[in-house]
Amino acid sequence: MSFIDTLGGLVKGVGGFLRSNSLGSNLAKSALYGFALNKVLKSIQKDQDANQAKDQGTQVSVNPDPKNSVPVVYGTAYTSGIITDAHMANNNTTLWVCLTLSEKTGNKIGGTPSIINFNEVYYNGFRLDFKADGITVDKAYDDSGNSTDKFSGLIQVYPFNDGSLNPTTFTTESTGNSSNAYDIMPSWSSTDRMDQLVFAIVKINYNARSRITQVGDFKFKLTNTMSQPGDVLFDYMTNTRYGAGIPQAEINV
Amino acid sequence: MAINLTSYSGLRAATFVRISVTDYRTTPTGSYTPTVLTFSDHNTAFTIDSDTYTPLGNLLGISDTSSELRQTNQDINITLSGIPDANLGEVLYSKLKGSEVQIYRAYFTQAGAQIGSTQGRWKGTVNNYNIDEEYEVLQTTATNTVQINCISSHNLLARKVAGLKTNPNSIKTYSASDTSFDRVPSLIGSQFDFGVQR
Repeated sequence: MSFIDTLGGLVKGVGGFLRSNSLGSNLAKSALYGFALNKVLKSIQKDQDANQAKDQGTQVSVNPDPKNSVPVVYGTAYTSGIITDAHMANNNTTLWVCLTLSEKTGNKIGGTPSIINFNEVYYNGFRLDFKADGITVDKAYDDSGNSTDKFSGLIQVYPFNDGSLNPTTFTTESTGNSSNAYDIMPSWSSTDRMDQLVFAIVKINYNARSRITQVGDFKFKLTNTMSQPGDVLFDYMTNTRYGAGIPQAEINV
Repeated sequence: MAINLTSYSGLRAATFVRISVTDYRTTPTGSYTPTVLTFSDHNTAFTIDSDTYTPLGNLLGISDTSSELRQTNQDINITLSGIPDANLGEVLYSKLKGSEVQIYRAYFTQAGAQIGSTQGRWKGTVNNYNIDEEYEVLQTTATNTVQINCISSHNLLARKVAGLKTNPNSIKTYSASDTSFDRVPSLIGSQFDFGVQR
């Protein structure tokens, strides 16, 4: 008996076994179906991975307007800011953006300098929470308080509250940014001072699964220690940069 | 603060003008020095806050202003008549425009005693001026009338546009060598290929 005859006999035997209704036959058929299904699913996953590798990215337009006025924040306010610089890095997968948020306000009537604090930051409607470094996004929370990890590690936020030389920390964090802005933002130098401006530098890493394919909608909750109406009016009347520039000596306070 | 004038049978009012000229000179080539010019339509010299106001009498005219409770944006004209040619250089060579103008008013009895304190009446800035010459043919001399047009501080503030715009020129007006907004013009209309790996 040749080898071919032996193999043919074996196949016939297996075929006959599978066609029977015995318990062993049914178990064998289930195992074969499972194996086949697993192969099909793996094939689909392979196709999806291939599509992922072929991700063509997106076209991002930041389009800043040179006629935009920098806002002045008094009290507590939510502001999206104005994009004043953008830089693509890391083989087009990391987008750096500078968001100018407010003018730095002056002194209160009593002479105490006002301070603008960063309270919270929202991205596409999600409130962002930070990792231990106070810069890198950890969890994000929706309006109902449900958390997600989809932005975790993909976004970094560096706040500044008085020009490039004054890094600050979110009030919710114990640590945060301590570097000058021009040491963080690629292509910036020491002449990029952002004089008397409150701003944030944001680093966004592309991730199609987390739907980070655009700059997105950032919103910052800022609180200015200057919130009393008298202080605000005084600042607005005397400030030579964004106010009326009236000499203090001419105001009876 | 209001002055009660009901108990006086007669009184005189005088107006005092104070022009603070930052760049003042009387010759075409001299150096500028800050100077305060003071004059009034009173009949004698009068001192307010250590500034002595030269009496010009009828040679000084100030246009009417309406007295309102609220701050008004009314402009005012100050007319200085009878100015000889020799003194015209003060107007011609000084940078009068932009100078701060304050006008006070004081009340006096018929005998010349001041009633109450001096009242601030108007405050503003020199907006423009013009010179009218009156030439005397027989005497071959000329006298001049200088009219100074002043704009009120209220009007000036209403016209003022302040604040930083997000463009390079705007930030450089406040911080000359700041390059923070230099890239804004080049970013207009530009697109980034986000996620397109090369």
